[in-house]
Amino acid sequence: MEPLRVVRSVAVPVLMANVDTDVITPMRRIVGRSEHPLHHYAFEALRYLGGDGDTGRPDPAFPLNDPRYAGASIMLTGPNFGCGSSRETAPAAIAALGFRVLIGPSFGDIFFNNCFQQGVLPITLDEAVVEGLTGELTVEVETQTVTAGSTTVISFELNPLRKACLLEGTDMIGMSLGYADRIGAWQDRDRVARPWAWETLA
Amino acid sequence: MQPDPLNGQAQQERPAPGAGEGRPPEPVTAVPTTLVDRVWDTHVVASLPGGYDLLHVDRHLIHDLGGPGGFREIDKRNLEVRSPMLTFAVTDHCVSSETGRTDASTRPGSLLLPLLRDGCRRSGITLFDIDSPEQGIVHVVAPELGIVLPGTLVVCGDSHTCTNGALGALAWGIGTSEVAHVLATQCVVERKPPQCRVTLEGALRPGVHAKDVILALIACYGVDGAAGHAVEFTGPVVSAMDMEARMTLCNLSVEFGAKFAMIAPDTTTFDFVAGRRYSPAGEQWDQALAAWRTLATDPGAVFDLELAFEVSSLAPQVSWGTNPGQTVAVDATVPEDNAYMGLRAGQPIAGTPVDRVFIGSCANARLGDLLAAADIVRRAGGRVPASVQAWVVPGSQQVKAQAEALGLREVFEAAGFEWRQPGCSMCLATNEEYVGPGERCISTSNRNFVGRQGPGARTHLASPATAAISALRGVIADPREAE
Repeated sequence: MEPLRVVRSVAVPVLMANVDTDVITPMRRIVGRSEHPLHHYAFEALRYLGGDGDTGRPDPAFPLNDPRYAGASIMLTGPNFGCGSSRETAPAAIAALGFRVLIGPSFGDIFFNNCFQQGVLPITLDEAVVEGLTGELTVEVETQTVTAGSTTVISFELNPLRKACLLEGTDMIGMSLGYADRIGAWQDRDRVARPWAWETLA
Repeated sequence: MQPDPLNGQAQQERPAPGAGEGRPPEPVTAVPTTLVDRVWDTHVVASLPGGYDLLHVDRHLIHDLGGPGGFREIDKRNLEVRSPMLTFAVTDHCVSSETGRTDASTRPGSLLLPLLRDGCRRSGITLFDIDSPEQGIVHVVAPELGIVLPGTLVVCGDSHTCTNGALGALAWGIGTSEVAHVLATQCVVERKPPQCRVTLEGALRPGVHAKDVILALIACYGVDGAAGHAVEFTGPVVSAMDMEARMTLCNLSVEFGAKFAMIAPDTTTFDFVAGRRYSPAGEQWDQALAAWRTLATDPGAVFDLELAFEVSSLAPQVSWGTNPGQTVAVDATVPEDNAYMGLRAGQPIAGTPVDRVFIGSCANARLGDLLAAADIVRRAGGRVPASVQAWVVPGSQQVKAQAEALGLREVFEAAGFEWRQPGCSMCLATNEEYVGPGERCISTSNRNFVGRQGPGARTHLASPATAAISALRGVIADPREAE
């Protein structure tokens, strides 16, 4: 995974509320045989005229198609972005579209966690602050700041464990495997303490 | 009582359970704790930076849609499944609901079922395959077989894993890379969420079911009403509910924004769990029961958020929009125009013609759900009009067999419903069972998102009773007509 330290980009506003993971990656494109890779169909219903990514005709009303935001790696999102199904294809497709940072007032809980597994940083800020962000932004993971223009610096919260993983470009599996002995010891104790949780499965 | 270093540090300091059937003993610990705390804290293998815990997963559930990705990831890293006996696999998302189905009946199935089968065989994971008498939807099968037990920590690569919280388990949905994480480590990394208690007051009127309660709750507080919280459902309404109703309630907690939901186990829970295939028996049952009786929130425990909801005046509910919070009483009007749904502000929701009816899904495909729907069919009489395609998709082979033994299949078929094979089916159409573009479906599932049941599909969420009466009438209808 590519480490995430500093991202400098215009931010594309996708500010509607409750954009769910079915909208981000439609199930029929995940399981169907499609002409294009999945991220081509990300936000399909909103991004293409007639809601059909196979026609490949972008809906100019959708901000991702606005040439002003071409090549953006920061997306501004609305409340409860990524709600719904736990599918990890949603943040994976967002990453494949080139986004490394999402900034919004709130995120679907599973989606929020899944973002880190894809090296995407979701940042939670007040809705009014998010809506006020324009132009080129600089997001710096180390200092946990969003800088807009040359003056406005906004701090954001970032969990130390998530931060370490982003900066190092590692993930949880590698980290947790380091605890293999403690997991084994826990299991040995639990088999004695709660035999009922183990023995009927044998 | 057994000394119990994990479950029972607190337990040892408590008086022996038994005074007051099914009720926890009075706590003597200084700081009152919640049900969530009690189960969470006993599963911590290690505390990590940033408030995260490495938590032991007692039961890992995988399915045909998410399992193959998990196997692929651990294969890529040359890792093995750490504790295969603690993972169970089902085939549900991608299987056809047609009689005589095979892997090849659906394109996703033909691709993913062999991969799931191969991963399970190589790692020694029990699989309830497409032809198993125990096959079905993961969140129907796991409680039904006693795989999920009170006080266990359960994860699955499916957001409706929260269903299992109805048994007093800690249960939440995870992503694909977390599936690989659990396969490799038998643990999950998570922070304890803020906690929310939802007290359901009053008593349900006839014709009003658990589905109506949770839809009305979401409509009242919003789809982010419990955003990111661990919810404990409590109160007289919950106590009076059977396990299946509690599962429906917890199933839609994720649609309420919750991380997961839990209900303290009581005699209803213990009676449900007893005697199932993987449930403890004999001496271990007694041990388990002693532990389970301590699983409750102490009086005086403080929650981050307290919500109360009175259900006594509640009517059956139907969603009108494209999130589950966009729900009204079946005798109310649509509150605003919705072009996608083809509805105008002010029109009564009842009387809206439907093309499809789907009775199924992990929200509402258990025996009690099918009984409630069949009861309406029997009372109301009549037949599903030719213009309407109405499906009943039982949640599991066991549910299907029990329903058939009770004569429900005949009731449904005589009234013009199709009786199908268990699986997720038209809830999310992963198996290519779509609602057509612009078609209107009243569905007992849990999501009415844009395109959820197929591109352009218009979904109305409702209880099995409401879906059944609507099927017979050919329009959205009030099940109380048949009471």
